[in-house]
Amino acid sequence: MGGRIGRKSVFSQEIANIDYINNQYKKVSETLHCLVLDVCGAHNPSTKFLPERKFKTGIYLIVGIEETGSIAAVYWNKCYDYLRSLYGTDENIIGRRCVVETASRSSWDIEDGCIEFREGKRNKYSDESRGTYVSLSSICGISQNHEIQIKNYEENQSEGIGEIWHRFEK
Amino acid sequence: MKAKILKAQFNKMCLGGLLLDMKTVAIYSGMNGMTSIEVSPEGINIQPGPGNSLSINTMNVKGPGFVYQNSFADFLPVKYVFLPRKTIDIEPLKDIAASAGVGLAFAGFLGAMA
Repeated sequence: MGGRIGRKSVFSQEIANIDYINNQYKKVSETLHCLVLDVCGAHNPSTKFLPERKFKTGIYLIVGIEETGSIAAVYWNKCYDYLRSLYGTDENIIGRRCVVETASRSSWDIEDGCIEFREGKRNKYSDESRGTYVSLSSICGISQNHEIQIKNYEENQSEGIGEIWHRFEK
Repeated sequence: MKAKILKAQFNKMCLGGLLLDMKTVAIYSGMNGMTSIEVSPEGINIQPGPGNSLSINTMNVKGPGFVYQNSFADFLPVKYVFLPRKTIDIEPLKDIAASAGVGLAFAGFLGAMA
């Protein structure tokens, strides 16, 4: 079956227009800068930041929104593996800055919004090519990866300390 | 350096990491990255770092055809020496013995059926 948009009948054109309008409503119109305060789900159903809410299923990130000065829950609508393998445990997520893209500033839309951990232009990152590890394997007759080892002895004066998570009492 | 680095956090506070290079894979930690396990095509380098120790938490350390067996009895005074005992431990022989046992039992079963 083909898509409706390519058809030439008046009826299909009308349906295509309705689809287009519906899609427009879903488009992002607000970008909120947030700080992750807590991670809730079946493993952590309640949080002191939203005492009236109980999270029995799914994963919700409790965020403090800079623009509105309020606290909201954002549903993690991506893969759970993605969350845990890329961002780690709850403790490693709490305190990170993030961006929530949402249709409006209503709590319903924010909860349905798309959360992303974007990097800030203000962060000054470290040089990841150096400062990894120093190998003494050549003493035992195992040849080293010289490229990595030489990099370790190079200095990079302009590098920063990287992104540091905010720490606060949970 | 064509490599991937996995770390809990990409900042200077995070000391541990996993480096996946084109040839070398290394798990490292410590202020200077002196504690590491490095796997390369030439071999494996286990490096506890200066002042650190390498712990193998087992009483049986096995190699091809032998086993080092330590026991708490080693620390009894006078009777034992403080040295690991190296004994022959050939796993394939155990398998052959086990297979022979099964074969004999099967042959016995067939004999009884006949």
